[in-house]
Amino acid sequence: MSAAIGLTQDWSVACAEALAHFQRSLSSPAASMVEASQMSDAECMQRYRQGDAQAFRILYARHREKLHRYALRLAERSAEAEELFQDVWMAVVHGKDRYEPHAPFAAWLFGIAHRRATDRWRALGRHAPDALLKRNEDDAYEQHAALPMHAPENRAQNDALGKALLDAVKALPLPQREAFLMKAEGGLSLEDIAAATGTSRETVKSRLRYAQRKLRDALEPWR
Amino acid sequence: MSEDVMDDLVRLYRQSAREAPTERIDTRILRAAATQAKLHRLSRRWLWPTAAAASIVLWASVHGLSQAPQGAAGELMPGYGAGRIRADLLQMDVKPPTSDVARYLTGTAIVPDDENKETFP
Repeated sequence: MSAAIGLTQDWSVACAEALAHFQRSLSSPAASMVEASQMSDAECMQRYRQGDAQAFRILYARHREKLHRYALRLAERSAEAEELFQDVWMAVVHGKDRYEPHAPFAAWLFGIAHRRATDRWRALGRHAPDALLKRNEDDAYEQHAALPMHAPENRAQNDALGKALLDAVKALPLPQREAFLMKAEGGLSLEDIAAATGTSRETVKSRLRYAQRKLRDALEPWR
Repeated sequence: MSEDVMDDLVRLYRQSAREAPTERIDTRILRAAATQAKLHRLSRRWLWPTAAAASIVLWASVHGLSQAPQGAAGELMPGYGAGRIRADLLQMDVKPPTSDVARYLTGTAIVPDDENKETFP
């Protein structure tokens, strides 16, 4: 009799365990999503290299808007920006094995974008950001000091200020614009921007200083 | 470069810049990424079976090639088989038997005599 009771208890425990395992297996996709969304960029990239498409989705969701705006403000036309944007992500997809986790993913991503944009401009016969390095930045500053302002007076001041800033960013010389966008969109440090653009830290600092001065001057009427 | 001024500019820029890529581009990029990930998974899944199959094929072809020349040479060169048999025979022990009985049994009598010829045709 006692043996029968023991067998029944063992059976019920086994059933409970099997049920719990089944429930865990059912809820695992959501759990893995939550787990994956808490991963760092480097971990996501590592998992994508192992064939986890979900990890790429998370990376893409984190950086898509930043990179898109970077491309949009660097290119002259939105179609060109879209091409550049797509080109960069395809380079990430096909070159995932070249990513080294010791560098921030954003720096690697924007580095690819910089090289692709430079190649594209060279192919189109325009000035690449690096080609403008040789120009005297003071001259460039003088040239772009007076920025066009298009904010209507009847708009809310914040909107006008925001639009003026975006216009002023668009009017910056390419190297300064790129450095500012990498800082503002990518959140990159001076060292990361220098690595991404293939320049020195001091050059990046100088570009950002000029960019800051021009943007501040452009926003002066709204202060 | 003043950090505070730059931080203010960056904050204002982030508030103002709101553009996002189109859904069409998102779909295209995510599809390409998923395809690449699937290919990677498939290649990993089939890596060991493919390697094992390739090893077997390699072994079979090498093994087959090592045996092929004998038959192939025999077929291609006239007299190859006869020459091979002759070479084998030359390597054999051809010392003549010492005793008469042994000579008789092996049929290698050196000097045939008429008596023997009659008795044992």
